[in-house]
Amino acid sequence: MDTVSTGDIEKLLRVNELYINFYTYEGVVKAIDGVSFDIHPNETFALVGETGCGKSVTARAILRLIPTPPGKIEGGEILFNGVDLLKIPEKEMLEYRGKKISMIFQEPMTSLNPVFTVGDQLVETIALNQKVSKEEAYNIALKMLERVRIPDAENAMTKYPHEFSGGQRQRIVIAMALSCNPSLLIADEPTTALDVTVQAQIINLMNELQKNMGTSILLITHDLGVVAEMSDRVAVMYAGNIVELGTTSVIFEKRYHPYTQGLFNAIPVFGKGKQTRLEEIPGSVPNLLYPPPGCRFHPRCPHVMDICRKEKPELIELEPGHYVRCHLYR
Amino acid sequence: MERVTDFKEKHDAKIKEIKYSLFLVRNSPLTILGALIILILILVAVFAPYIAPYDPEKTNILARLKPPSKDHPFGTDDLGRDIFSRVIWGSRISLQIGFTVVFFATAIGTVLGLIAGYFRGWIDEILMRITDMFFAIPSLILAMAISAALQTRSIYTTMLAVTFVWWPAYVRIVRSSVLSLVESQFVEAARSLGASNRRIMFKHILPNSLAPLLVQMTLDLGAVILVAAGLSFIGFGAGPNTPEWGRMVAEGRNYMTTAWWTITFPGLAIFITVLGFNLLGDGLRDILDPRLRR
Repeated sequence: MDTVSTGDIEKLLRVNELYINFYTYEGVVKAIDGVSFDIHPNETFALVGETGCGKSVTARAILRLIPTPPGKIEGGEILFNGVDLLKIPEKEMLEYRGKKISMIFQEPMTSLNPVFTVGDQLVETIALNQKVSKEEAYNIALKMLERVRIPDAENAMTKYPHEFSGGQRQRIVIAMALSCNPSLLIADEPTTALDVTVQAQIINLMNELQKNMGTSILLITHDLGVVAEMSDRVAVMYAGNIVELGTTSVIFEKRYHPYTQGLFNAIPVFGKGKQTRLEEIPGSVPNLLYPPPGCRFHPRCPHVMDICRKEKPELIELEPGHYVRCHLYR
Repeated sequence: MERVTDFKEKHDAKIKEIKYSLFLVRNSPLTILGALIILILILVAVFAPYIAPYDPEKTNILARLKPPSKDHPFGTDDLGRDIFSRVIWGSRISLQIGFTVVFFATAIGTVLGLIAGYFRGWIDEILMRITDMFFAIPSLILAMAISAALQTRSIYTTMLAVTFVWWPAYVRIVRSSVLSLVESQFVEAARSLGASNRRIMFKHILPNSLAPLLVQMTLDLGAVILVAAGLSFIGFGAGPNTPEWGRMVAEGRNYMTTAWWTITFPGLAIFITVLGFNLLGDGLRDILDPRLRR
């Protein structure tokens, strides 16, 4: 996919200088520290990073699902088709959730209400969001279940969530999320809780649906394999910052940022020989109550310089459409 | 015929579910006993005019304090009223009080519990401190005080007084299950799909907290009847001629040593009713317990 940096391509979603803090008993956690990215129509954009780096918080902020308190969006804009979602009243937000932006979650086991049949839940959601009659909603639900390849969809409608396997449940959740034809689907680690073969099925399904329905996907994951399979562009996050952003192919090939390099070195590679050990990134994720000054990665960075300890690096455009936040490339 | 198979296919899952519940019930004789007692009680209450041989309020001084006999199976009281008829009519009053109080207490408690658990913050704090106040005072004493303050005496003031002290328990039950359900992912998923707060509260959270609520309601039916009888016993209940079990025990207690039947039969009626509801409630708890289900 052609990714010219900014400007010329119309943007579906633009997150601009987002700051989110969590006010806890121990102090203020600066979870998101100036995150910016764009999502274009029809693309899959991945946010990658370790647990606790702020991927999910960013995703939830888009739908304004951050629990407040303790969370608080301190600044920035989230422009969806030009509308700043952070400025509209909660009531208008309901018009976006599920209709224009949908979300699927990590745990398919618990994303469905256990006391209603799958059919009831699908029909209810569709009737609510599309203002159609129950019969029409039923037909749409049936079609969606067939689309996500649930066998014997009509029968599946009368079953309860616990009667399905994890993979099937995730398919149902995807069907529900896509039932109203949203232009953006936020997928928060959609395959993490599934075993590998089922993962592949779900990834294929999402790729296929994305192509057919023209939905953009914001993919949250820590799995670089999933990124390679699905996404057009990637942003690598570390401790509330985006440290590298670019097309998937360039990132997989070049890896400018030391953290990205570390992340990739931690993937096992076949045929590398028996003796090589997996490399790890030394140290651990910083406590965001007291984020390190300057570059947040500097305590773990093999190329650390004096300036890294003092000054937070800016995102630099190294190649067209490829950004890195590191003093090495100044 | 086609319709029948159609219906069967369409509701296959639900039918299976009900069948399984019935299977669990069958394996618990005490639950069946409880259900049976309640069923008989309801039938007695509904058909009271046809079952009772005498007018429960008609006095007959000539036949006062007669021991149980063929004419008066439970004997007669100090004013010559037929105790059997009075016990039968009394079932109406007890059930009426039980159901009304539990219904209103549940309605109030559920709404407030949902609000407290869902919104948290200051509203939760205020509601919980109010319920704490209620729990700080023994409920029977509080109900007495309210009855006393209400001046008039009837089964309706009893209902009002007992409802007033009963709803806080439901706020607690509902709130505690809401607290855990709010965190669950399907609630977040519902929100991400555009469901409003009210919709999430009543369509997603409430149905998931019905099981403990149902158990508590059943157990409370018995408890409410007991408290209402207690209120009547100490004189805060229904008016003089009303065939209310608690009141009958109170009226009979002066003759306890010479005419044991005056207090025994209404007392037994209270005992069996409360036992029935408790057995049914305990059984329901076991049946609705998800750990017991498959």
